[in-house]
Amino acid sequence: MSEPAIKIEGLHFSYGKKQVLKGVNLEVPKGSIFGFLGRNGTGKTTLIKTMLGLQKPHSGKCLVGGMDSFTQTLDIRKRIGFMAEDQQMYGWMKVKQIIKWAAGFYPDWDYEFTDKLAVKFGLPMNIKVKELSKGQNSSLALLLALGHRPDIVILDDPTLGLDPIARKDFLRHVIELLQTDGVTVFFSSHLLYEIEPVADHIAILDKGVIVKSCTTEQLRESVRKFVIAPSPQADFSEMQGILDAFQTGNTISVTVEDCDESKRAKIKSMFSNGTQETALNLDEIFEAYVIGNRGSK
Amino acid sequence: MKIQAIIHQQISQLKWQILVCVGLVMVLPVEEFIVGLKDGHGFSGGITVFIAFIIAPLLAGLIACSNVQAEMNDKLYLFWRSKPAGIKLMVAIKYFVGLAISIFIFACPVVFGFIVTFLYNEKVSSGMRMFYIPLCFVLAIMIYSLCFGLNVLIRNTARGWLIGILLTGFFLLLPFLLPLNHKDVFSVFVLLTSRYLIFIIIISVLSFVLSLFATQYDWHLKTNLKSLLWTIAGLVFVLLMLFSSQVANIKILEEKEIQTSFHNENLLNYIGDKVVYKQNEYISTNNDKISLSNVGGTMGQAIPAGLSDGGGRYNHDVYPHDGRLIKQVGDDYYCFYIFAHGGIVKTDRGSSTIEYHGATLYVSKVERSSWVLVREIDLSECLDENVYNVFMAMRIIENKLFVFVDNSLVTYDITNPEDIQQVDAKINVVSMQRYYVFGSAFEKGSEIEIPIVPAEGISEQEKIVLSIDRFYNARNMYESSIVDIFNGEISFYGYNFSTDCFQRYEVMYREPYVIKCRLKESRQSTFLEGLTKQRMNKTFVKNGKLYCVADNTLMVFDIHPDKGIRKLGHFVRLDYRIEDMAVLEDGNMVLHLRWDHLFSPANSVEKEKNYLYLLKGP
Amino acid sequence: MPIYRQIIDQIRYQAATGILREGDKVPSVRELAAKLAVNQNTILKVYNELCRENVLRIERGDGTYVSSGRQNITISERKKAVANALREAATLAVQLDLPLEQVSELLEKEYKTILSQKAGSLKNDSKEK
Repeated sequence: MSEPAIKIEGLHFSYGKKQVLKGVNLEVPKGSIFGFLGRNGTGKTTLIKTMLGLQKPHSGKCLVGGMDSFTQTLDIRKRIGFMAEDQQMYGWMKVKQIIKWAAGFYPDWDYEFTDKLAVKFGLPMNIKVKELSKGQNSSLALLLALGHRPDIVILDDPTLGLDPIARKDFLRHVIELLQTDGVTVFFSSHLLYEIEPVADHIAILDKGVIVKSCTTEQLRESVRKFVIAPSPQADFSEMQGILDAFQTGNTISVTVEDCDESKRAKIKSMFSNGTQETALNLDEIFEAYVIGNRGSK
Repeated sequence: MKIQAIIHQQISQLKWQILVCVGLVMVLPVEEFIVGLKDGHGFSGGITVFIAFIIAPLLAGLIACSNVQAEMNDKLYLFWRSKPAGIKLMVAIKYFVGLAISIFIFACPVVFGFIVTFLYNEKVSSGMRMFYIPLCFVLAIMIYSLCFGLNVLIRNTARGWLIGILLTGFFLLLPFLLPLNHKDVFSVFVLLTSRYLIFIIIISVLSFVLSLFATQYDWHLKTNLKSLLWTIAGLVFVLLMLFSSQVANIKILEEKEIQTSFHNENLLNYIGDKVVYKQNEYISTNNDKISLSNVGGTMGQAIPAGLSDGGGRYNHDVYPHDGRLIKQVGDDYYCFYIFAHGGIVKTDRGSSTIEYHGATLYVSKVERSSWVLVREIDLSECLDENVYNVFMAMRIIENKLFVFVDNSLVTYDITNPEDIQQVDAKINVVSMQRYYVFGSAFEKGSEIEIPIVPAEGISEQEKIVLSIDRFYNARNMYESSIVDIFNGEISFYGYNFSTDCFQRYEVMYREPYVIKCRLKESRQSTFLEGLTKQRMNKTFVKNGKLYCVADNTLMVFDIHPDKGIRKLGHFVRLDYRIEDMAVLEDGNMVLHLRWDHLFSPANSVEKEKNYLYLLKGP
Repeated sequence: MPIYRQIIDQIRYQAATGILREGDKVPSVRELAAKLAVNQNTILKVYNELCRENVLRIERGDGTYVSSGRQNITISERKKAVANALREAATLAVQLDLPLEQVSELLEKEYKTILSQKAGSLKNDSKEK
């Protein structure tokens, strides 16, 4: 397997005394669309800033395209396209001007491509940036992130604040323009259902650590919920991979990750008076990972 | 990376600000020019100077703020920072583009002023060329840099600007407070070599470097109104600390309220080297407390009331005016004073004045707890014709009493004060005009001549000291001297009220009838000293220190000739008045301070309070 | 329901009701992915799955077409696929306490509707021709 596009090892970062990243490990395969999930304020943007080399990690490594994100930050930034959360641009500039401004930073800006994109996105060239609609604004941000044909694109919650149609349009562009060209896309979001259709891989960040990183398919297949009747011999405190457990009335719901045949058999054997197994939808899975009651019960 | 694209972005980003600023600074000069053209009275550069001096630096701060603010918005911040350009380079470009814009705005009225004055065939004053323009130029750079740095840190236009302006004010005040001379601050702009220019440049560069690193590492401070107020309070506190450390560093050992009935009564005087309080108790220091011991018999006022108040008419003069020249012989105390009297005449211009025609030397002695007149000598022959302002001075050296009246000197042997003998005949001392060295703006190195008093029976050195004091310390010479002798070299000191300097004149050599002296050293008063002191009432030298007393200020200087005049201590009581001051034998000082109830109700009994202060000698 | 299941069901339904007819060319993986804003790999998986079920057929270098029929899959395989799909409905029925007869009734009704839809669309087509 070829070298990952982004490789993060044991990354720590804190603002003053507040630890934000507590040992993040992550590998983003080349050419994949990598969904990066986390609730707001869990350190997504901090991790992205570190990848861009805007801040120095306190410990750990962050390699983007095989280069250290902090020491080779300028080389990295030439190769990546970045679009920030709720991206703002110079409002007083015209679309044409801001494209020219952004192009100034890159020696090999593809004007032909950006012109094509502008037409595709329906971006008027002679209008001021501050007069664009929200959807147009994010289209423009995407255009500016892609104009130099980066091979890694980092999108930090790019659809935040867009209406469903604009959001769909945006995702369509990501698939059409990026996946087709084999570009690695690092797509951060706080909505699992949004990135699920587009992502190959999904990683969930919670409280400064990656709690899950796998393919979208695995994530869906391997998380199961068992509804069981409580019984005295019920003791799964030893069991690995319990994401959530809570009792309602006279049933206990247990959510288990990496559910394979052996685990299933084990649970079934423990609760002779019947278990009911269900698959979860993606938002339930996300919820189980980030707010689940992980203690034994 | 195309730097010009970024520069272009910077300039077009600020285009409205630039236009508004240029408009603001140009309105007045253009108006002045048009009005001048109409009226034909020419173009006055004053308005240009005012604009460049006051408005341009403030606008430079605004430019800095809007320049930074346009980029420091949280979301925009990430936008440009994620581009492949060095962050420091970006900030540096922003800084210098903004600086260039500020200088451009500053230059607009200045260049306009130059062109117009040239058109009018006039010359730009050297003051404007050499002083105002460089001054506001440097000022603009400092304000710009401070505002830039602060805005990177604070990320709030209004607060950044306000604190920037405040800090600039603070840094402008600083040299007034530091041992730097405040005239330095202005001379720098002329000479461009001074420490203060370097100081401003260092501040600006530091501010710039700070903004580079703050952007690189995303340092910023969260401010709110509270922290803003704290900052201002902090600055004021530092100012006050500097202020107080400079002007109030003499330790007060004791404060003691006293009762006194007379105004203008000098409570402190010397008998020999000892200080006497109310003329009946010796003052000394005991465990940092004032300790009083009885002199022996109550003495009270030596001059009879009839003489001292002149019956309400101003046709007399007494020296020393409170009769404080006291000498102890055995167990007896004698007091010497001169009384001059005359009649009121009309001057040529019609106003009335006193013409003196008589003078008397009185000798009193303490007998049964009060002063009794024991001798009376007529000195009227010393007076010239038509004396409207009689000169009187006295000093005791060993057993001799030197009495100066008008231009004459009479010497008496006072071995037995009850039977004093005239040593010489009346000597004409001088007919030369008076020298006001401490009122003249002499340059350093200037030489002056002082006539030698032809006193007999004292050493050559004493003769020189007597001559100097006779000329420049006449009022206080009965108890103090302004002359210091160090390793046989004679210098004298004083406060020059015309140049606001403390000066040292050194005696170079003597000729048969004059001594030649040279102005060796001038110590400029600092800004703060100038603020607190009002008028030097008395300056004198004692034990190698120079003491200067003003209405509410006491300053003590070290006057070692090799080290120059260095201030040792400063004592200020702004709402008090220093009535009298004396130096004790141990170097501590006693002050008589009076405090007036300026705003007390009219029927209040306690209109004033008197205090005796014991101060630690610095 | 996973997105790729949704797409499979949709194509199956369209094939079953005759909206997609035998020999029709379906969009390429890229096109469909972009159109639906779904990962290309998902679409690839959908097409593979449908090929396995013989709903679609990939012709190398040309494209993907709606397959001619179901003859190639054994009856047991077909049964298994239908059973899989029915399991969910059955679960729901049990949960909602719906008697088996009524479920059978519903199934029958749905079956007939789809058949008639297919027949209708075929008729329309022939009319147009």
